[in-house]
Amino acid sequence: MSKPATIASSRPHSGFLRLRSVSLRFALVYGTLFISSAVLFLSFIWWGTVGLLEHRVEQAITTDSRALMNIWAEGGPTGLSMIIDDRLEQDIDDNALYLLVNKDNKWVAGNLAEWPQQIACNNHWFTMPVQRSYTQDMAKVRAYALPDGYRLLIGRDISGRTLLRKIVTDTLLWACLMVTLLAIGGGWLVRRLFRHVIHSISRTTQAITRGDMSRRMPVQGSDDELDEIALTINEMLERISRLMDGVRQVSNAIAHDLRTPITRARTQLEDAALHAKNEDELRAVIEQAVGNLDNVTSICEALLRIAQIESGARRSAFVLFDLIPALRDVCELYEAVADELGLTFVQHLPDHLRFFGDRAMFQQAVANLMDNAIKFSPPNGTITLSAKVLSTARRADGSFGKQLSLSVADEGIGMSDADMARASERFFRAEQARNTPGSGLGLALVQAIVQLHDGQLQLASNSPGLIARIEVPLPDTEIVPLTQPIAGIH
Amino acid sequence: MPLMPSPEPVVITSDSVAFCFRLSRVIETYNKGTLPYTVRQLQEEGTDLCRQGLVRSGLIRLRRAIITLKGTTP
Repeated sequence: MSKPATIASSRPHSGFLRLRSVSLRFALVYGTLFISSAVLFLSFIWWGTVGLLEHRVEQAITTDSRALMNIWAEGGPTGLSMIIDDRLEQDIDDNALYLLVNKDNKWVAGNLAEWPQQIACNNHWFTMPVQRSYTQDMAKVRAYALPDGYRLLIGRDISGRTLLRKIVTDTLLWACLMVTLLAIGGGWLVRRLFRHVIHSISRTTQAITRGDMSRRMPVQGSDDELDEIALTINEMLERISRLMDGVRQVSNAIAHDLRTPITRARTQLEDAALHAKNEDELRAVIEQAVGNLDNVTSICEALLRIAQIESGARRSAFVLFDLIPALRDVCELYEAVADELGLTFVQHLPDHLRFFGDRAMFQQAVANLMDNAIKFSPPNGTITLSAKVLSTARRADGSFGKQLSLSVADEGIGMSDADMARASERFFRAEQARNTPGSGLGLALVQAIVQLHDGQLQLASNSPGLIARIEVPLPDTEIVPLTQPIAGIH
Repeated sequence: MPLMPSPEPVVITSDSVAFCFRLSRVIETYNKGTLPYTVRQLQEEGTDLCRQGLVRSGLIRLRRAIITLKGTTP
């Protein structure tokens, strides 16, 4: 016999850096986003400092060149030379560079010894080394061609800017390194937190898979998203437990309720086979057995019908129709029965009532309530069917709007509070109703139909008797045309 | 922006003791004999610093002297 596969063996190999790990991917995404944002931010800082300084140097040279061109136009080489001398004498920052040469490339004015050979008057910016007394700096320059073969070079010593650029660049690189370390640390923390949450869910679900339905997710009490997930999962598990209990209970009830008529039919047939004296007796027993088996069939049909309604598949048959004629059809059917039993049947119904739902199914629900009322009413009792519209009622889903309140009241044996709480469960039968014919599925069917219509079924004491009340939301729209009513109960 | 491929550095002539003396002469010739006290002091300090080899500091003082002179002289 082969060894059954365990959950642990079916999981992929767990390693510290498993790329298929969701938590690792989560941490990587976090780290990447963190670093990208930081690099973008630091780039803006770099551009805002170094880039701005460079732009200002270019702007100063351009402004200077325009002023010197005007001087040239007014005073020629002599005037320009005097201005250049003036500027150099007053250059308190000691970073201005000027050179005016004639057509023979001879020095005319300025503080540069000679014209640099590689620099041409082509409207380009150049960066070149300049030699001071003790240091070699960098300068940014631009050359301009003047009339009569003269050329003018204007520049600025950018050694200060270069130093600042180096400082800013170094600072930003260190900041990048720190940000990377922070991203790695943050990613590790995020991964750890994520793994903690996932492992907690995984441990709980594994325990449930092994059959321990009592296990629940730990709730920290911090009222955060993790607690919200834990509470939701716990709620889901509670519901699953309740549903499983319900299924178990219904299975037991089905087994019990089906066994009784089948056993009765079997006993009758066996008895007839052994003791029937003639064909008539035999036929009578077979008919009784068929009746018992029909009862089994009706129970199965009722169960299937409830299941079908609860699945919501019948919602496609919803239409807008006038509920009052549909209710009158049901009343007409049960008035005759009530008369036979000496019961008084009272109706309080409006003339018209627009309703959105399944006409035949809603008639079925009302018929079940009427059937119960007639079954449990004492002789000469009164059954009251009433329907009214509550205009601004709070609906079951929490919204406000028009709502139908339909009630069937009798003066019968009634129910205790405990029985009323369980009355809509499948196969539930109150102690007083044990001797009354029925399968215990009538109110379960009503409950399913009402829930399909987004409504509620409520039971209350009528002192004496019982009031079964259905509250269902009514349509707000008035523009949908009414469908033609369908006669009879399906 | 083109960067010159390892060219020979061009010498800056305004970074020398000779330029210091030139600035000092400019101050002398600007307003003969009646220099304001502040200008005279800056000129002397600047020239002394240049003589001691502290050219940049000397130049700053001499340039300040010229700026002051031009700012106060009509």
